[in-house]
Amino acid sequence: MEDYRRFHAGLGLLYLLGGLILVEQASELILTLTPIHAEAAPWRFGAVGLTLGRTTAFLFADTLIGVAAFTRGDWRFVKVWGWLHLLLGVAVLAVLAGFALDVLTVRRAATGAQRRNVELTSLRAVLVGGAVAILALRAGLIMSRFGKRKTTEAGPQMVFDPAAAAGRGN
Amino acid sequence: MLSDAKSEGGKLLLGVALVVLIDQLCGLSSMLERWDGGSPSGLMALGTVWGDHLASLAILAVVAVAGLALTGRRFGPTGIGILAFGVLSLLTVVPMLEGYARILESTPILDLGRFQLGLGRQIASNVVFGAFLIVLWVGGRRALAGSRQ
Repeated sequence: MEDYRRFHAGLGLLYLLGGLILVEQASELILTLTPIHAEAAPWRFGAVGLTLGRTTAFLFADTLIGVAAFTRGDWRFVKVWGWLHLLLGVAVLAVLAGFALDVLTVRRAATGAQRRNVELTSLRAVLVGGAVAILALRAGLIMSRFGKRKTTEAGPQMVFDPAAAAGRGN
Repeated sequence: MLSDAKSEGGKLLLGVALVVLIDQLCGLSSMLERWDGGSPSGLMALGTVWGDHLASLAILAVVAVAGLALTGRRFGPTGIGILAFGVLSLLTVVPMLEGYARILESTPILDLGRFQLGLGRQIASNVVFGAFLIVLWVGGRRALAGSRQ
């Protein structure tokens, strides 16, 4: 039983770590993006590029939280997290659609090497953003469905079996 | 149900690994786009740019191996990719040393100790991460083969 408590607490730390990374990355991003000029196409273009540039860190934080929730068997949280991912997926698609318009505006104003840079940044943003949107929608569907099924199910809620852990502990 | 959770969780981990890989490759390619390969500093920058992405690539490799283990899939192309990244990390030491040798011949360096310290740290980091990826490849191959039996 002691082993189980330690294991559970350890997984709780994963939530904390994931949350800290999310907050740290988000605050750094906000600092980089201020002052906000949402009405200007170049600012919006840069904002999308900068945000997608932090994809890896955001995804690792998301993975830590997801792994903790799945392993601890927090199915209600998994359900909510799934819905948030669905919303995120739709939001990323909407942002990418707006980004396409901004690319055309910014590209027209750019010249020579700048234009090539804009094209490369746009390609990267579309590739990474598209992949993030697909992953978020897929993760959202799986997690919300799984969380719903588990919370409505009767019986044990935990993936980790405390009895087995107590038997193994020495 | 437990196997269901493992399988679905494993698929999500594989998805995360794929998206991170796309992001990292895009980042590497945009860096290489501006790369001046002919100059000594360009040669050294190759190792530095690669090193900037190594930590993410190492975590990505661990996430991918965990995803494969949970879904019960074969190591296959993922394993080859991990091994290739590991070997490439070790190989980046060669152009870095080549660049360093050329700089020593051509340019007087004011603070040589500091310069060597920075270069040494980068080389050590690339070697350690390269070795880690190769060990992960060996361990992952064994672990996945064991879990499939």
